[in-house]
Amino acid sequence: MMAIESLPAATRVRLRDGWLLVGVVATLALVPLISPSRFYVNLAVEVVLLGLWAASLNVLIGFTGLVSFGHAAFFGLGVYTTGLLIAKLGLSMAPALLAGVAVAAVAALLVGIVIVRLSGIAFALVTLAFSMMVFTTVWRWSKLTGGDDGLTVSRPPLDLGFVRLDLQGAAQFYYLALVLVLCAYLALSRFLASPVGAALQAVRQNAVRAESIGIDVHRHRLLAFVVAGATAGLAGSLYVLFRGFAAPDLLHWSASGQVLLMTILGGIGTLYGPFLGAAVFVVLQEVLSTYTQYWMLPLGIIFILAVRFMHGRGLLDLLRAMRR
Amino acid sequence: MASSTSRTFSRIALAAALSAVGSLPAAAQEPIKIGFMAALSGLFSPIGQDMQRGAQLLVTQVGEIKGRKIELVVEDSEGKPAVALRKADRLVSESKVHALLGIFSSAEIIALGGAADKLGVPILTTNSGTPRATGERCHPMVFRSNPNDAMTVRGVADWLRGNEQARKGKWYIVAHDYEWGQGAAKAFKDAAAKMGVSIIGEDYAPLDTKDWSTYINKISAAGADYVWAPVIVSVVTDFIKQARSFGLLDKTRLLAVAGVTDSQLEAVGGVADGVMAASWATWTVKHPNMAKFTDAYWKEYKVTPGFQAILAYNGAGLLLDALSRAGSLSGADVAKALETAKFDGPYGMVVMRKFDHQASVPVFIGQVGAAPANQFGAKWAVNVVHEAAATVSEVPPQETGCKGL
Amino acid sequence: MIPGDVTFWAVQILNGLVMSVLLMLITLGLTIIFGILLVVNFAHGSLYMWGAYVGMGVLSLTGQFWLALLVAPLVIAIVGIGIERTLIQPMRSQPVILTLLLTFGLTLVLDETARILWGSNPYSINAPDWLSGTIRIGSVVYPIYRIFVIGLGIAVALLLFLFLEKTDLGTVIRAASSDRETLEVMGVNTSRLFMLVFALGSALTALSGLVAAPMLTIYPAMGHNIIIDAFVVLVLGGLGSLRGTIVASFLVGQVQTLGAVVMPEFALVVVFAMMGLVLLVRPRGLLNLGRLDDGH
Repeated sequence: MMAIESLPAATRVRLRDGWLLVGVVATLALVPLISPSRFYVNLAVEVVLLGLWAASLNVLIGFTGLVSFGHAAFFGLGVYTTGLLIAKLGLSMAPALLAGVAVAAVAALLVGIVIVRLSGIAFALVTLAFSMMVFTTVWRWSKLTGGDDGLTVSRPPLDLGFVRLDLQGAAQFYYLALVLVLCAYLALSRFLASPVGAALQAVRQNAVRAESIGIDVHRHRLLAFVVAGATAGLAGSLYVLFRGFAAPDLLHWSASGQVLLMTILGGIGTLYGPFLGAAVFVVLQEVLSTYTQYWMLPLGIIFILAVRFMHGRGLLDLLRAMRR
Repeated sequence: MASSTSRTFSRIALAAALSAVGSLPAAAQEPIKIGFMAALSGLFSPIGQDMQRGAQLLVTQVGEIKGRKIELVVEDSEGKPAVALRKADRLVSESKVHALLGIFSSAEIIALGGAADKLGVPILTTNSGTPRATGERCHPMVFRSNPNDAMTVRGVADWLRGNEQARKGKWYIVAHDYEWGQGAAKAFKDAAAKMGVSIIGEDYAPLDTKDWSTYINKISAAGADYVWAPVIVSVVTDFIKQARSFGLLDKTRLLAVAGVTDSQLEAVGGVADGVMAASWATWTVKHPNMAKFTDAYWKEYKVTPGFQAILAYNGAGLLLDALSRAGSLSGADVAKALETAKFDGPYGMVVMRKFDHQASVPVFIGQVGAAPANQFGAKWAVNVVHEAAATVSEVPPQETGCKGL
Repeated sequence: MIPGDVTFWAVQILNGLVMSVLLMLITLGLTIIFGILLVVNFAHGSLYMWGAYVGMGVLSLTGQFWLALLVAPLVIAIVGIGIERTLIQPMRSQPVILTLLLTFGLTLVLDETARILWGSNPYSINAPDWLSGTIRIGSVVYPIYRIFVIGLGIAVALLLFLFLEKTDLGTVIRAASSDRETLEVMGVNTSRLFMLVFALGSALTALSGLVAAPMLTIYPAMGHNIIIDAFVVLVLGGLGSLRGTIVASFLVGQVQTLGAVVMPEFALVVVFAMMGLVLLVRPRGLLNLGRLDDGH
């Protein structure tokens, strides 16, 4: 019997460094006030949204021990559900957002039910197959989605009944994104710190042992999968509202690879590590790309080194190690 | 005394100079920035690089407008609309460009058109084909200097009118299955119906098609004489090579709707001999300006001037003409000046049409063959078989889908 | 319009075989590596691309296609040895999923390095003169080069079988795939074995890249497209099974070709759905020959 072992139990998991979080959020809140142009504000939105996407992947990898090569599928479902509802049916922001999250969650549930009993490699390959299925459907069904040409989505107002906000400005949308991502982050934190979260980590460390002490491994994995999928869907829905454009690239396996890169880069040991990974990725992409078109190379090398020598623990642990 | 006279002279001269300079705006020394965007990496990179060279050549030649240096700020859009949107936003908000130039694909110009209000600067494409950008989606800030696909089809129809063999031949359509390919296929079908040209089959190939053999076999089996092939330009060489290997090109004339680039001809050599191309430009066009252009281009870059370079040069010409006449460098003023821009380009006069912001330009139908004597060392080139003048190729305003700008 | 001519359909089967051969060469490499090292090599698509570029380089230096066919796989085999020694072997005591991630990062590095070395502009090479030209099959003329590709595929598959069944080294490799511990006890240098297997797998995929080049454009991302098809073949054939790979390559090649005639839009979605389904209900592949377990 060839079991694929799960990730090393030595990975420590810290969920909330309270004051650090407050400091980071305060800094983030200042960004629009100190940015010379909206370009930097947009960069910050990109980091925050991609960071949430990477953090949701880490719920699977770092906390539950499941490696998915198809996490772009749920992000993309959020993008296209929200995008299509706005572009074709003229929905306003809130219902379109909620629908995006809901569709991603339901998809994660349906797929999850059948795949959580699979082992590491099989699980990874099925997630790959599923995401390529979604990609191909969106890409080829160009009458509906615009296919390779993409879909323009104008940002609708946020109609909360008692107030109607037209969030066209870069800074305005930034604050919305910041608030929603913070809420999602806190919710995930709570979830992972709860007894359910502890059970997930037990499953990650040793599924057989977890089973023997009465934890329903499949049920817990499914829960993690749905939570991760729904969160990725939220990130995707916000992303299409941010960019005003939906492209099938966001669903391709290379996009799944990029979010994996961000997660590993930031470190799988914490929930906020992937945000750091996303920041590094986005900044390098924007900054390095003006100097060289080969900016992926140093990223790829860092990634390989991170996996090879630090077993996925990433930048955060590297920084900590250097501080000592 | 001599010294005081000369001092008075210089003071007068200085005063005169100052009063002339004083009428210029305070920011007189700041350069005029043009944001250039094209696919500079990936499959389309040779084309994007051609476009960049063409635009840069004119900017280098002209140098400055009203004492202000012209600067081309270059960003790589990778040929993807999502990236183009990001880079455009960066060019406008961060680099503070006064206009956007280049823009490689149809998808990109449509996406940029959707964001044009937010961007607030004129967007001039020198390469996108979709008629929609100056048709149903025409926009006060969107302009095009190259022919669009509807114009291409009109040019082809003009060629068909004079070519009985082609008119009476059996045509097969093989198109890439997405917006541009489907649009080009439909436009041809409409024109063919009007002229009584028979179309004996059509196939739509997925964008990631690597193996064209099935389509090639079907064309052979149907006994087609001509193939209308809107296939994206970077993989048209696959199609041509495979068609040649099956012996299809011996009996059937292929018309590559996106054209064939000179760098592709350099790579495949004689394999493409005889292939026809709907060319928006080619260095083989006989015009006094063309020789001047190719000389300057070769001197500067030591690369064969591809047709996208010629088109970008023209587009840059229109933009520079507008920038020199605009009341101010605000987006609205530059756009207003662009509406009446003209430029004496490598193959003749290029004039912008105010109604839909589509420039009036000729369309050339070409055929790959031995290159005429040239300094680039090019052995193969697209030679002009038919020229449809601007008056013939332009789409009547009421048929464009644009309501008027 | 679908032709009713029998020859047309016979030719389509040949076309399907050409695609099958390309897929087979790549996936044989993938499946051997998995069978022996238990590693799914995500960098396999990049090695395919490198095979095409290196082959192109040899061709432009020497003008001899047959030389490129020998040298390019050899060069990539050496690259494979380098990868195995520095990245795969040291990770053997770690969970295999980390090695998977590593090979994925390797794809990025290999792709970017290719872009640095050769630029991102596409290249085109032509089939050599002695393989150009056509032969007549009924009413259709068929390119000799494609016949060559099919022949090459059959030859390589046969050679591989002979190697594994008839030679000592081949026997050891086959044994290693089912019982590594016993081999080690018997004094076989399994570490060296893994290195050789990885080299062999790399050589096979490089050969596929070069063989495909006269038909397709050479560009840095050329592996991205075909590697996904290769993964489908890997799963359908059963990870680790050579026979399964050969059968699955035939299947997928035919489906792709015939799908282009009959139902192009959704053929691909169906293929991925099949891949997912097989992983779920028949993880050892359609013929149940593979090595993947569905246990947790």
